[in-house]
Amino acid sequence: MALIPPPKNWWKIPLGKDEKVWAYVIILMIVMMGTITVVWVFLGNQNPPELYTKYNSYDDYKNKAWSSGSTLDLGTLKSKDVPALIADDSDTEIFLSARQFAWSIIAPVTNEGNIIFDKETVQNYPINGKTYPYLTDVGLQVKANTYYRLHVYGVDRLHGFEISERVVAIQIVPQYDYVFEFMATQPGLYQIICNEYCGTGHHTMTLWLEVVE
Amino acid sequence: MATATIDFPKDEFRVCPDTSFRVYKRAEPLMIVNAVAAILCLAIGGTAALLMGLHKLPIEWSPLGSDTLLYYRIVSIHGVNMLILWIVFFEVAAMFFVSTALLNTRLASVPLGWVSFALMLVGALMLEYSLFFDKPGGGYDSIVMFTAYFPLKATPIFYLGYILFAVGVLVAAIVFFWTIYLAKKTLYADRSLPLTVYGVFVAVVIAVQAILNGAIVMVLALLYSLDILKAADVDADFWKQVFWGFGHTAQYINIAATAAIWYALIYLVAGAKPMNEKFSRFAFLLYLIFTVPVATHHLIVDPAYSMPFKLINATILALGLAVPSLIHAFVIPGALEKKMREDGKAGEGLFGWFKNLPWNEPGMGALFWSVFLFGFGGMLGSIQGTYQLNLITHNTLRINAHFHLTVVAATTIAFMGLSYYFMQLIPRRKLLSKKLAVIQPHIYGIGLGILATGLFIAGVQGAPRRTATYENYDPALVAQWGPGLWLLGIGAVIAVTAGALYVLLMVGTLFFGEKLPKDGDANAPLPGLDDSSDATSEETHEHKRFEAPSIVFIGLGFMVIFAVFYITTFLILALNGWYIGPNIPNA
Repeated sequence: MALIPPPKNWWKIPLGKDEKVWAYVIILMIVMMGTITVVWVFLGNQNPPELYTKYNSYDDYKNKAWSSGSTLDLGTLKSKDVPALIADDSDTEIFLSARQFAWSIIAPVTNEGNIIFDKETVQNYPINGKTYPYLTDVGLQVKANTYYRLHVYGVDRLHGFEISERVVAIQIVPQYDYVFEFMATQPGLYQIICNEYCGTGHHTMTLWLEVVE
Repeated sequence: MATATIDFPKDEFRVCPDTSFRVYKRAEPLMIVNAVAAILCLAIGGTAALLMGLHKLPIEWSPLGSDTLLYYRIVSIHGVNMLILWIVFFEVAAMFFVSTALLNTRLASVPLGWVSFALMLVGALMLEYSLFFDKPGGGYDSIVMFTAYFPLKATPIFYLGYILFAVGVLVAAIVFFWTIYLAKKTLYADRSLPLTVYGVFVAVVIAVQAILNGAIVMVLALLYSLDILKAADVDADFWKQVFWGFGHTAQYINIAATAAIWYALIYLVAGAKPMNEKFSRFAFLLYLIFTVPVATHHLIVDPAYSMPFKLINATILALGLAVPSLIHAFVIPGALEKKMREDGKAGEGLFGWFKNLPWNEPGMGALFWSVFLFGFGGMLGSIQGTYQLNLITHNTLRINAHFHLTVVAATTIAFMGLSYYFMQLIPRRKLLSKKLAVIQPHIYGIGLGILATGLFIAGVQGAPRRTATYENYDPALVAQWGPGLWLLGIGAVIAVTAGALYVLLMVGTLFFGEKLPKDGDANAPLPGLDDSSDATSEETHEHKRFEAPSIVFIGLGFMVIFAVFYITTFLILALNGWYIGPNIPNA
């Protein structure tokens, strides 16, 4: 009779056995879920990254990237003829940026100096004696079982950084450098895609990620 | 006794022949125009849904061709029409309905009611114009989705439309509160509000909170769109947090309204009353408290906030929001079982009563699918909102599976169920076909079940949401998403078919349905307001036996599935193998 007023002394009607049992079950469930998540924060090996820095401008971020000490190499991926920057185990800091509509790698590169490497700039660099056309997909190669701090800076809009097939995603926000700390354990070829709508070319934002032994 | 002194002039009130409620005549057109606007928006959003569903099928052909811009336009049209326009117009109709008809009260201000409708209508038209015709270029992204995250830039008309619409809702909320105040001062001075009215009251309080958040973000975005503010002037994650203070809080308007409507429906279809008023009222109150921090769960994998802030707000406190939903979803079927047993319709065995439910009522199928699918939607929501699990769910199609089960399945089906009764109570028209109305919620529910399963499967495999085409992605990866996308498309087609049936039934009934008599016995007592209204000693006596044993049993089964699902998702996260975040060994 939810359409008419309850009895005047409705608060005097005690909870039935059904409701009591259910209330206890709910409390148990909530406590269980809450406990797992809090324990996982301290003991689990997969948690949302916590490191971030806010920059006033993209230039500040680029300068940070170029002075980081990590020097990447130009090359191609092992499993695919895709121009890529190669990081080895001494390059723990890798700098990415997300903009409409490309992922760029920002790094000092052996023999090339400070560059921004993405699908639009790829034609500037002959790789293994070969040049790649404008708008060729590019990649990043990292080592398995190596700890990396992958910085991702949002240039213009919100973007989503998703490592597909592994299905891990974080949000990239303008002016923020969000540090994706990770250690890949399975070698393989993955794809970083944008999973936040960032404008009408959103679906074209891709970057290969190759994990090698 | 207050009731005796209340006068119901014949030119202002009519007596409902079915229920004896005194219906304030001048409020009726307001309810009808809001309901009609809602159903028109549902038709627009549903057409968009059909196009999206067909486009997502993993085949070469698509009704949209390879026009990705058109796809993003369709998604935006779908999102805004369904999530905002259809639901809010319907809720405003429900606000006017419960505050006047169910309380035998005049609407506090009819002119203000029309002002609210005019504002909402103009706002909605501006939004539609922007969604249908704005093009990217000239510094505007223009296709910005329902989630128009700053600094995406739409034209000013988009934000102005939002603002006008919100102001309209705010005016309606003021009229609603004022009407409740009038009722509490007179007829209900010594009585509590009916549970349905109380539930809608809670929903409207949440709505005011949502609108205030919405005002902040939409005004900021409008200033940005007018080039008064620059992108760097507003922190994008602050904007996102406040946006969800509007966007997700608004979903708790829907859930509170849905639960309120569930309580109305169990009465309308089976004459059942809530198992315990205290229990249900307490649950509604929890929505009020726990909706405040809930927005944060959209920012779990965002940079701008610290771990403790996100963990406490997004996960720990947001888990509290599961409590009232779990209470309502238990009490509703429990109340039905209790009523069936009281009426001697227990049937054979533990579940015999289930067969004896009034399945020939349109509200019954609506109740069943609404509550059933809501259970799974809530499960998915609790998982996504968990601090770590958000890493593997954020912005994948899993999210869509969650909210299609909650806001589409639960809310929309409940609204559909109620509106079949609304047609007979307010415009006083007999349904064109009761048979079709009985079948419709079942088809819709089955379609949504398939759709959500597809969304979930593709989402678990990493298919991103709001993405026009997967042709730039690794073909081997995209091939894995095939089965999920097939289910998605098929489910969408089934659900949209049932949605179209609903729209046709509603519009057809409004114009061509057989007219029912409008006036009943003027001397009929006011429903529920007689003097002997204390709970009987039988009711205040504590019961030792289960009143709804089969629902307790099903509830426990549901919780076991929930727990297994939750723990399994953590295992999947761990077995993923990669180390992510602060606790990396040998870092």
